[in-house]
Amino acid sequence: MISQERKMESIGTSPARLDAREKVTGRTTYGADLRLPGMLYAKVLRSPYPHARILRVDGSKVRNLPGVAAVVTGEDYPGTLGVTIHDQNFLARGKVRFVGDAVAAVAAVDLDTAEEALSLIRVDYEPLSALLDPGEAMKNREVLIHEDLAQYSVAAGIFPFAGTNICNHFKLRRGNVDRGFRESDLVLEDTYTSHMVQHAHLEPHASVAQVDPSGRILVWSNTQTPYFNRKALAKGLNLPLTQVRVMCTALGGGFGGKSYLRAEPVCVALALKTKGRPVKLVYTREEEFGVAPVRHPTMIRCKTGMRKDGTWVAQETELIFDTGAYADIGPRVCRNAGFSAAGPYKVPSVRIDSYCVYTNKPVGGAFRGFGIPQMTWAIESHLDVMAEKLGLDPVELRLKNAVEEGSLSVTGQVLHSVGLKETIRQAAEKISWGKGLGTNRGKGIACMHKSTVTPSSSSAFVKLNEDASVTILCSAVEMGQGSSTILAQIAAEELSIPVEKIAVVRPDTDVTPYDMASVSSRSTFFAGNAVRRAAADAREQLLQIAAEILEANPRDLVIDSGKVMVRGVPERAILISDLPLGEAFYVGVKGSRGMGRPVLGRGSFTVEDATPLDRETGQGKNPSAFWMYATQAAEVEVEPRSGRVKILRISSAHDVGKSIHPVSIEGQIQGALVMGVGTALFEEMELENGRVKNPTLAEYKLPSALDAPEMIPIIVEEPHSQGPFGAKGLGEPALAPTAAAIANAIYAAVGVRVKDLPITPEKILEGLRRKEGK
Amino acid sequence: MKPFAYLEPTTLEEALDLLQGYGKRAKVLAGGTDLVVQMKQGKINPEVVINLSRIRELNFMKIDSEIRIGPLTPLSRIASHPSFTGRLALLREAALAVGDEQIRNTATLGGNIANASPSADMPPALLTLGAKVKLQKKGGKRIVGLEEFCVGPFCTHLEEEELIVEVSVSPIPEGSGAYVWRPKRTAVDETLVGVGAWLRGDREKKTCLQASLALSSVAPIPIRCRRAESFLQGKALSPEIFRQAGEIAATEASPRSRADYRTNLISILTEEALEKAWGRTPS
Repeated sequence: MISQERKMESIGTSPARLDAREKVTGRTTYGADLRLPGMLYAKVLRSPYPHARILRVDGSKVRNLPGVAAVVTGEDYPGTLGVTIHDQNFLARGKVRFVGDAVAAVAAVDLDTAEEALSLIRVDYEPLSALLDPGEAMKNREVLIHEDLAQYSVAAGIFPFAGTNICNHFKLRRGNVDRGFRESDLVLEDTYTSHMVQHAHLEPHASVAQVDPSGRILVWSNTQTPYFNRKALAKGLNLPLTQVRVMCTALGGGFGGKSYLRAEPVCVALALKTKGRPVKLVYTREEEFGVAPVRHPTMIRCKTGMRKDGTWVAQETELIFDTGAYADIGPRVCRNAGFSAAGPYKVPSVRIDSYCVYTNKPVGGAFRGFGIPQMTWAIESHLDVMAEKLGLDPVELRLKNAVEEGSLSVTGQVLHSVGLKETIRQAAEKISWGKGLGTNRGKGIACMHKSTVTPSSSSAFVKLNEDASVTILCSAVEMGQGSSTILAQIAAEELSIPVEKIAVVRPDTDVTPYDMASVSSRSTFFAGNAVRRAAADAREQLLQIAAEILEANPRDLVIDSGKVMVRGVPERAILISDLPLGEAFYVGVKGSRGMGRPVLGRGSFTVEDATPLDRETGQGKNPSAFWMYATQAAEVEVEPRSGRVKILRISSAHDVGKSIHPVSIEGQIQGALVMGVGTALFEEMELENGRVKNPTLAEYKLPSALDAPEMIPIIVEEPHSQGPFGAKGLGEPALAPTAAAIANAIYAAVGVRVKDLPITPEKILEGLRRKEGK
Repeated sequence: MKPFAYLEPTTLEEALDLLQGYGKRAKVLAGGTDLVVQMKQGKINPEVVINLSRIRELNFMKIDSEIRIGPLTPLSRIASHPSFTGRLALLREAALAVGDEQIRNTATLGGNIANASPSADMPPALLTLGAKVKLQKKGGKRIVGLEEFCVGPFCTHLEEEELIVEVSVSPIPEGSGAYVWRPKRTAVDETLVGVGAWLRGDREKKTCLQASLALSSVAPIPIRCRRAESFLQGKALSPEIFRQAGEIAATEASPRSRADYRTNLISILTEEALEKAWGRTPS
């Protein structure tokens, strides 16, 4: 039973993070640091072509090279892999579909030998025409990147078009859009594009695989999705789940990029041929850019109809997601952005078409925000254009249309825990919205909402140790976001013990119980609830044992300062560490009646009323267990002669339901915001015929501390009835509105509207010249 | 990276002996911020790497009526030297244009010059001061003007067995200078355009007696803007004259990528550098 309302002791405080000391002192062993006895090093031979038929792979010369233990090609492993569509193999078979597709791999005693081995492998290709533009790929029926699309196994809710390059089409129909436009005073249409960016976590993807003496496959990797990986590998190799064990290493950043299988398949493929020797594969930075997933470039056309007073009447949006060579999670990104594409607003008539399109480019994957940053960039830029034409203040226009408690979403969901309006007010106020500005300065605002993957579930064990310390077993992955500490706080609160007495076990599919994945800002809500239930279960077991010793009713017992005591009778108390929690006691020892049993609390959580979205209308009553809301307001200064932008400050207000660890929340907001600044102004993967031209951190520019603006994080709490202590998620939102907030501020400053990301000085200067020319 | 032998001489003499012995097969490492990157990319594969960073005699700064700086002086030391303020602030500004604090602690003046990257920041600032480099090899020394020293992108007059042993400005000319720059994208980034300016003017008459302008990152090598310099000579200085000088300077460059934008930036930054330099004229 979950405990009743009382004064919080741990929730809402900011204890030192459980992982802070080891990370700050540089002692953490990350995936890339892992080393096992007898370990071999893997290297992958990758396609130089964006699209080509593999005619022949000849690795015969490699086998004579001393120090090489295994060579594999796609032909060795017929099993299929995929997240939404099974369109991939362990290594490419028959065709390569992007520059960087794995063609062959070797395991050798060291990296130099492995590299030399690669140079001895001969591959004959027949180059095919490459599709690099998603608009063209959508139309082209001659060149098909996946000829067998119709035969692939596809996840529920994903709708590919056989005979095309479209791997998903999400549709939403609500109200009467055409009538809505007719009844509008202003209808405006425009297209916004966004670019390809990379997560650029400092630690690259790393995996070690080994076949143990019993034949089981052990995989260590820095993954956000251990349970997904176990199932996918087992299925790909046609093995029962017991034969694959996935163990998470520490993660040096994830941001979605370490979801699903990355370095693992090649690593496992090699390990199956090395007679028990472990094989390690660590991506180089070049592979991080060319092979690891990227954020989908998009083209988003928005058509908006409003009345003079800013009442939003109708919305039509078409989104095209360029998902690259393999579907990966792209179809869900496309769907997620699709049903969110009208923004966090009350819009009665909506027509949305969201397409996910194959191209011969790097693979689009999950990336902090999952399609929401792109869609927010478009609609929030477009809203400001509407506001200007209608002569309305951008803040007022948003407040007028913003969803609130009880509003109906565009899919027909009754919304709950909606702090959006408060985030708008506070974000605007913190940068003194509407008050004096210098020359070439401007302020801009943008809102966002985001769903969480639904349905999904998490489970946890809470183990009470004999000395009254607690070990949490769950499969939420700590990747720097602070989930371990938050889960420990939740258990601490439920068990009335200090956070320092709690340890959280790193996910291991043999040890820690099921969790869907550490994605979609879901860990606090789902894993948090599972841990809370497990802790409540442990508490109940603990009180039962104490009740027998104290000869009291468990309902009358409280836990305080490491003791269990009868409420109001402090002398009737026993130290938790004196209770028989492991070894059993004889009759009479410490007053017991010959009892003793380990305490193992168990908890799991899912939302039980999740509904799919209708294929034709996109309607559904609960596509998301909770919604996150945020507003950012930026003040910028533009240097008009050079077009350079200086961000003076950005406020970022977030409805988090309930703040469990305020310092971590501020850290999440600041981290995501700087990432948003990078996407808006600096980062850009440049491609030439499908090849990444700037695959290093010297050429792909990430913002540093010197580029970070003054940041004003704001926490808004609109509790969610199902959230642990009312909490919702926060990992993704702060990156989503940043680009639009900056673009809107630039427009306010110098009257230039940039519609394609990133916002470079050249584009602003060009806009200024065009404006002068008029 | 291919395997290589690694040597660490502690004296100049030892280093010159090694260079004579290994010649072409050796590469010299100072801070390594350029060399190591090129080795990792496989662009160069030396058999021997000679690390100079233990040669203390090459890490020095002497500043009085002239400037003498050892090639192994880290850029952070140049950036924080008390003499490089006021009229000499351009050397601090150029040093600060390179990387971030950590890079500047490692990168050296000699490396910044000898690597001869078109986007290096120290050479244009030094060019405006008429700097010279002293080169030495076993059994010979020579002094070369910095302008002659750079011959092409990543290409200098340095012979295989030679080292830069000193960078000098002698005497420090009258006047005052400034170095202004903009990065390619982020705050810590390669220089997109850098402009060094040195002005000797008549404070009372507000006229320019002599001007010296040099650009980074807009030509195969750091270049002097002779036409803009002669335009300025004898002119009564005003914002309008600075603006015109900027426009002339822009015509003297030959940027490759982002050419229009860089050209525009040359005008703006030249104007800014001249104004800043003029503002620093000693009264």
